[in-house]
Amino acid sequence: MKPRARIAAKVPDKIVIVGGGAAGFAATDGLRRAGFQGSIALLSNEDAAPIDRPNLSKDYLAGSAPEDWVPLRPDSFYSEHGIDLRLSTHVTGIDARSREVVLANGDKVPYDRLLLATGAEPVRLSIPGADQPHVHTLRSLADCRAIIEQAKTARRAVVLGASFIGLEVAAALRARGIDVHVVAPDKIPMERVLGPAMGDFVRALHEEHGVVFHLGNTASSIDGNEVTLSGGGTLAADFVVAGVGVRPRIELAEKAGLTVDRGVVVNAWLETSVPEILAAGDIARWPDPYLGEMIRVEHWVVAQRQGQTAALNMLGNRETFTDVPFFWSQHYDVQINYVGHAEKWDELTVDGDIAGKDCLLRFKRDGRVLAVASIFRDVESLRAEVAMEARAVV
Amino acid sequence: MAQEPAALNGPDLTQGIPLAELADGGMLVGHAGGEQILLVRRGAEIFAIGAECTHYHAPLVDGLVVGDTVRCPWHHACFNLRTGEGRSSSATARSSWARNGISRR
Repeated sequence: MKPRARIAAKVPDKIVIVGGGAAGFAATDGLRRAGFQGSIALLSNEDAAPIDRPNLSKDYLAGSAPEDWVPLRPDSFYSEHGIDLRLSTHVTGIDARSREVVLANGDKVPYDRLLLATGAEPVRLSIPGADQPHVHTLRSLADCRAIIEQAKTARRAVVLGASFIGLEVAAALRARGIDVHVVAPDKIPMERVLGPAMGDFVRALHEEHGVVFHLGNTASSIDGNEVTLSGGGTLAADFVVAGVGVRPRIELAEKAGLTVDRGVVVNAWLETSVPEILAAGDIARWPDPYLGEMIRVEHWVVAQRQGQTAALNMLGNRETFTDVPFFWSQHYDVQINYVGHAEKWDELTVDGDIAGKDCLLRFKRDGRVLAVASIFRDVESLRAEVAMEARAVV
Repeated sequence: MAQEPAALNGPDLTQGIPLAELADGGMLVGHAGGEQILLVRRGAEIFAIGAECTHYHAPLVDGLVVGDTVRCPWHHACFNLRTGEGRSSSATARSSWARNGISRR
């Protein structure tokens, strides 16, 4: 934790934030909490005020969270704090020289500091039949409500992709009593991120709850109520949810001439190649001090923390972003916590008992721990994060 | 998340507690003013903060004290014990209750 920010002598008057997700909201909130009294425009292409997005694939989708858990703040928060929240607002361009963002309706919004927090969007399937109304992706509250509405009358669903989103959706739909089949090209779910043993555990956990896997397989087409598999055969499906990954929305940054490299490149202060434009969240590729590498992640918690850091830095502070990446994923009664970032590892050690839901896995490269995944070892997970913050050997 | 408050746990902190009940580095949950409060002792200092995470109401007493912060066991939100300011996990909210300089007798 850092002391309350001081506002630099030369403060900006106008701050514009593009994106109403975790990073955009956290920055908005952070600006006001730091005492910023200038104007804030929060431009969101979603039709709902900022929401608790992780809930959309977890409790809310499962039907166990009430509506009022979903908004991060009540609608009144924005007017009370003098925040110009504009929903369903599409930004089409940035004029970095005149310091204006351009909206789809032609309006221009001037800024002294701009935060790009445009997030990511689900990868759409390109197979025949993917554009039908009963084929869903899940990102926005509107997406989630569409799935819930469909689930009310459905008996069978097919989930495409054994991703975190795909499997969380599978668990949530099982809670609604829907038959769920998961189709994924992987041999073991989540093996790339969690390793084979945890992947096998996740598969077994879902199978215990009635999910049927079709691994090493993909969908080749979708018709009214059937999914055809490339490996042969069909699956009945009243609806389909595709969880086949997301791609960062970096087009605005590219068009504005900012440096991009599989994301928007930022420095340790989250500034892009144009210093008065910052980037945070799913789009940002930043120098991670623990790994000593430029990384980009798509974690809710990281987006929030970057939003907070970006807010302080837009006010003239020089806070380096040093937080260790963290995410959690919920499957029935099991929460998997993940600290750090290991795109590749050459050694994986397991403490405890994965099947017994009491374990801690260390993902190492050249003998150094890059990430730790755990189940029901909360304090150890926190200790691993603290050790990485200190850049110590875990 | 938000539940109707059940019976309050732990001692009534407005009545004070013997210092020996709170070891150095330790945490203790009590209540004051109808709210659950977490006390944290760091050497000569004693901090008080709302006992639940502002995110999904996890019990912070099950988390970890690091320097002058307490970390949430569920989703790693981080609260400054001096100011209540939160970092991440929708814990951009400030903890409702943060005091230090709890009086010692």
